[in-house]
Amino acid sequence: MRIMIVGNGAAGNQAAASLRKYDSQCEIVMVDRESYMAYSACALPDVLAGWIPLGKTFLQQESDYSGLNIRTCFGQEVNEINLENQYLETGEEKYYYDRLILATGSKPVIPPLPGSQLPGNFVVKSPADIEQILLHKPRKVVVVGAGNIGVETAAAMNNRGCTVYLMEMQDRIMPLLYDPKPAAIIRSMLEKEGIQISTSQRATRVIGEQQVEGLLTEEQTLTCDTVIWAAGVRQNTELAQKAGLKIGSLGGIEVDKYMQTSHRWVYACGDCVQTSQVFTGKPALSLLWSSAKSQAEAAALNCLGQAVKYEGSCSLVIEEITGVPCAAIGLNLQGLQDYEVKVIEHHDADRYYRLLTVDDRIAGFQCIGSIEGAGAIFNLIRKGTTLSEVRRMLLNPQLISSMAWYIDGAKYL
Amino acid sequence: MKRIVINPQACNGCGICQLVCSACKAGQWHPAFSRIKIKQMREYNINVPVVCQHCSQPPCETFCVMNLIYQEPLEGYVLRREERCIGCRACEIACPFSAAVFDPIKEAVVSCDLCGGNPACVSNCPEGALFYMDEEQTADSKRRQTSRLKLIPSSAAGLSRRASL
Repeated sequence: MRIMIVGNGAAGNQAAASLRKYDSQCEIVMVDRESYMAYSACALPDVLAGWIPLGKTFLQQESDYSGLNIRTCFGQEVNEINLENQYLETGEEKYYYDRLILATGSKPVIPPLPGSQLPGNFVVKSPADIEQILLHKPRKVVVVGAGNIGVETAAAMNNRGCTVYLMEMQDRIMPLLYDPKPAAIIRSMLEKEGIQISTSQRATRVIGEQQVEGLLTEEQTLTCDTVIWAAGVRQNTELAQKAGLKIGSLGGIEVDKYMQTSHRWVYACGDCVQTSQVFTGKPALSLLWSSAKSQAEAAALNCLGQAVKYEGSCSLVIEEITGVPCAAIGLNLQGLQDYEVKVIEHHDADRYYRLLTVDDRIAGFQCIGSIEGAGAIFNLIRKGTTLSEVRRMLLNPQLISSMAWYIDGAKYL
Repeated sequence: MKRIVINPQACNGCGICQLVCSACKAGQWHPAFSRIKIKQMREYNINVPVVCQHCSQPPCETFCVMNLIYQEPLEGYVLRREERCIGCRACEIACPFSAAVFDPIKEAVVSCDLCGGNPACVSNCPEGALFYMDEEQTADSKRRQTSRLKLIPSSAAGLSRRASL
């Protein structure tokens, strides 16, 4: 059996590794547009900050692929997939497949504003972007978009000694992860570091003739020599669309619980698909490393004929801001608009946490200062354990001593 | 397939396992460096040592952004290529047992590697609360342990902690 994997990111590599783990016979071929070896996109802001060398972000070498008996065809762009006759065509060759796994990933969005193509506009997605940013020698930087990548990039550039300005369209930083109060705490931590932040602002154009000289917003003009766009990503679905696979309402490739697309022998995983949220069951995009890996594992096992369900995505984002760990798990109030939410909150000098519960279940958790016990909460959310069940367990000393991880979670409930 | 097995009824929370672990694995004499942690619940008088469970589907492996956590194929141990760690601590938060520990000297997150087959915490536990045994043996002894506990009324369970395994 020949299994083709399109894409060499987190999902593609995990799929290949899982296939090889459970089947030593099948033929695995990986195709990717980029000629890089696999790298960790999550480590890129750390490279920008100068904490780790660029070489450390590469996860695999040529020999690792051949050691697992995986054929690699990197640097080849797939032009066409023929679902009927089960082959795909790159510029150089035609590959027949028995099963296909699409892990085409996503690409960062640069809004089509005047001047956004000038030299000095960057994104943070691949090692090449980092090299270009470092070659540009930035002094004054505007980061557009205060999601987790925007915040990490801003902190990294600040660590390099640049003057950093962070801009966000919505009314707070990291609006998809944190509620207003924790977002305000993180904001003040960043501002103490010297990063200037403004929210509810929209960029309108990039000023400059030969290269970036400034950024015009609705309210003011910012002088800068570099603009880094962290304004979100878009799924790479052109290939799937052209082949005639169904695209979901949110713009990702539609897959069922078994990571199967609308065509029988084609599976998809990673940033390019849309799955469901584990708590609400509604369609959701999960653009995280961990979701990509667990989706890829499910896709690989289903390729091999085992019916393995993907449980749905539950986000877990952790970052260290000025040495203080912050974590956001599950949904925030914005994601729980349709539900009646109860909030358990605690704030003192060195820690803050907030637990969101709906009916009898935990839906989200945000903490700043200490991440102790967050793992227990995360697993309660993922498993959908009810609060009354947890409280019943906590009352029985015999049960609790054999399930020690409840002790950690208990202090939040 | 040997694992560290814990009998929480026998643990009195002395913390010797933590000190031994920190000395053996980090060269320090401080529980913060230990890979085995004693969780305490004062109201029930419970002390439970918690250590990496070497899960069959480790959540830490899924959450590692550097793909450095792997399962050793023969015994299923969950091991790390520590030199590659960037200290993002995602595995620390994904672990329900909080068994991954950030080591500030190595600047890496570490977890129990069973001391390569002879865990120091087990051989140094004075109360006999830690064991290093096979999976089949574990199931058997756990069943015996539980059946013994059933005979004790739950109100008195805290007093007779010394149920031998």
